Amino acid sequence: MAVSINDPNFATRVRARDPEALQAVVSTYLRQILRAARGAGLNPERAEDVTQTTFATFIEKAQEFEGRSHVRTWLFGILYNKIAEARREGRRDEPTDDIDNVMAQRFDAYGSWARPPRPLEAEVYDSEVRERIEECLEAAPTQQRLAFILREVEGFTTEEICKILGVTRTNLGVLLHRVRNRLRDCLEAKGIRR
Amino acid sequence: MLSCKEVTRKIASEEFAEAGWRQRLGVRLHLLLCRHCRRYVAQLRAIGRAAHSLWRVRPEDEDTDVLKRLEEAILKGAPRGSARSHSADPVKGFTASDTDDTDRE
Repeated sequence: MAVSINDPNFATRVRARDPEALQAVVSTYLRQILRAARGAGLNPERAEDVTQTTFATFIEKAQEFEGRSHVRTWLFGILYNKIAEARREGRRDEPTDDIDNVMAQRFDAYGSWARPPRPLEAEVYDSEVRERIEECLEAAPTQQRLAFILREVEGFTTEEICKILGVTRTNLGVLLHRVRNRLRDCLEAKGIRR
Repeated sequence: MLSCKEVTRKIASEEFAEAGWRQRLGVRLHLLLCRHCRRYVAQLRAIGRAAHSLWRVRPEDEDTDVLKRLEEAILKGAPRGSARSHSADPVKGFTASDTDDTDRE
């Protein structure tokens, strides 16, 4: 490929809508964007539509690209907005979430476990998690799902995810805390047993 | 000494990873002494691993056609939805995206 996204002139070429630069963006990130759209809970058709719209918006707004944020962060930020639009959800997470209450009940007044995690054999746990995780993730709000997917599947830094979702580091901590506990709790409730 | 509640929060929110050495030491000490929290951490790790292997390491060949179609549609600036496999018929493709609520502001 003639242009690499690591090219020092890359931002300039994107802004100029250089076809080679745009193609480099598409071929570099298409798979990741589609995967995240699916992971965020869109059905396969919707995920494809949202992916296409995300890149179309990217190309449309290429002139505004400042190069300060990495292309990837910018692109995933567009994706997040498109997903939120597709699901007609507000960007803000509810200030309190059911999972907060569920978690609160697991500890006593001193903050020690009142109902500790159930002991499970690691191998059994691993295979059951794989089987049920999608089902459990479905119940989570989009912002939590996407935070989880970007962190665990794509391995983005917390800083990048904050930019993409437009949240502070503290908010992201809340999102990750909620989604992980939601999943762990759901898996436990779904009858993962010894 | 940190409580279990604090330790689990610091870990699940990843505040722990960015904390100073004193806090990290506090969390590590707690984990050394508390099997319930160790179990909690092991389960969160298993969940992360499962997600990674499920979505990331999934056989990727199955998407080759989809990706190719999408790439062509994007670079051609084709109308949204036109890249879908089952809407190769332009009329059907148009109808599908036309009734799709994502188009509206």
